[in-house]
Amino acid sequence: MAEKQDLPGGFEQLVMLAVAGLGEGAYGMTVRKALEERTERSVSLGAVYSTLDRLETKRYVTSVQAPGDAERGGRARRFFRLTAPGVRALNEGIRALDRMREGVNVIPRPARAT
Amino acid sequence: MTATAKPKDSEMLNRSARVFAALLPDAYRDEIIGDLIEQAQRTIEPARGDRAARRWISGQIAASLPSMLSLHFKQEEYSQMKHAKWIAAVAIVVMGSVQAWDSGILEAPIGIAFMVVLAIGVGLIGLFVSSEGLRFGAAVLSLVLLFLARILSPVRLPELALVGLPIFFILVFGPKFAALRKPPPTSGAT
Repeated sequence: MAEKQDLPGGFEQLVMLAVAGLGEGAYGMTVRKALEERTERSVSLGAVYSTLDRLETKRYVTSVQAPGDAERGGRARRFFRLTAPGVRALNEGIRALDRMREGVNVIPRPARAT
Repeated sequence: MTATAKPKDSEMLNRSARVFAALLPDAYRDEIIGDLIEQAQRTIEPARGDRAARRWISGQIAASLPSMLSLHFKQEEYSQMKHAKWIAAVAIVVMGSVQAWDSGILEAPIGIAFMVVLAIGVGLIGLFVSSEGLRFGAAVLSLVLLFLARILSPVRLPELALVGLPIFFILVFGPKFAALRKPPPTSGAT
């Protein structure tokens, strides 16, 4: 068996995927917007930031604070990006989920786009 | 949208939003409020107006509080204290227990004993709270409870501030000393 890694939880995986998808533009508001659009659920900004904080503690994401502009009343933005261990953990988490789905008929696999 | 037409952030936060914002953890307060102001100005205000935008911000901050509760118990400068936090906690429990025992607290009415235990408990919890405001509040509450217990007790209690003052100083000044020993940041935040 491969080396054991702390797999990110379900919501953590969603947040990491959002961060990965947003690239350079991943900060609280955009991450939340991406989550709400893709999951069609309401997500509080607090939940996003507390999850990002947890992921940063695990060193799965890293953050950089940028000065705010007038649109934000001069308040800072904090941009997040996935780290290499974060990418590995995310991939491992998704693979584990895929393996768990195999043979479970009540949750059919979505058709993959080719 | 141009930046010049934007109201200042203080104009975007109504009274309840300011109260809720004070309860956000220090580490993310600016970012969260900034994000909400930005979104409110981009989407809420053009569609629903200024007052609705301010109400929306207030509601969003309030909705964020429960999930951010755990972050009050985590802070960079506090993580520098490491063992010192636990040593301080043990010191509070030992000093508090010895002095409470010596004071004959067991002979005091249950309400007074409860106040002393609560004061020590609040002090202990305060050790692990990151927000400076909450930590200061815990220290003050702890002192006030101990003074009240002494004043209200029919049994003569010794100077409970002997317990309370160390709690107060540890809670208020402990992290400052820890911060002085903090190494320079190695990554991320600027």
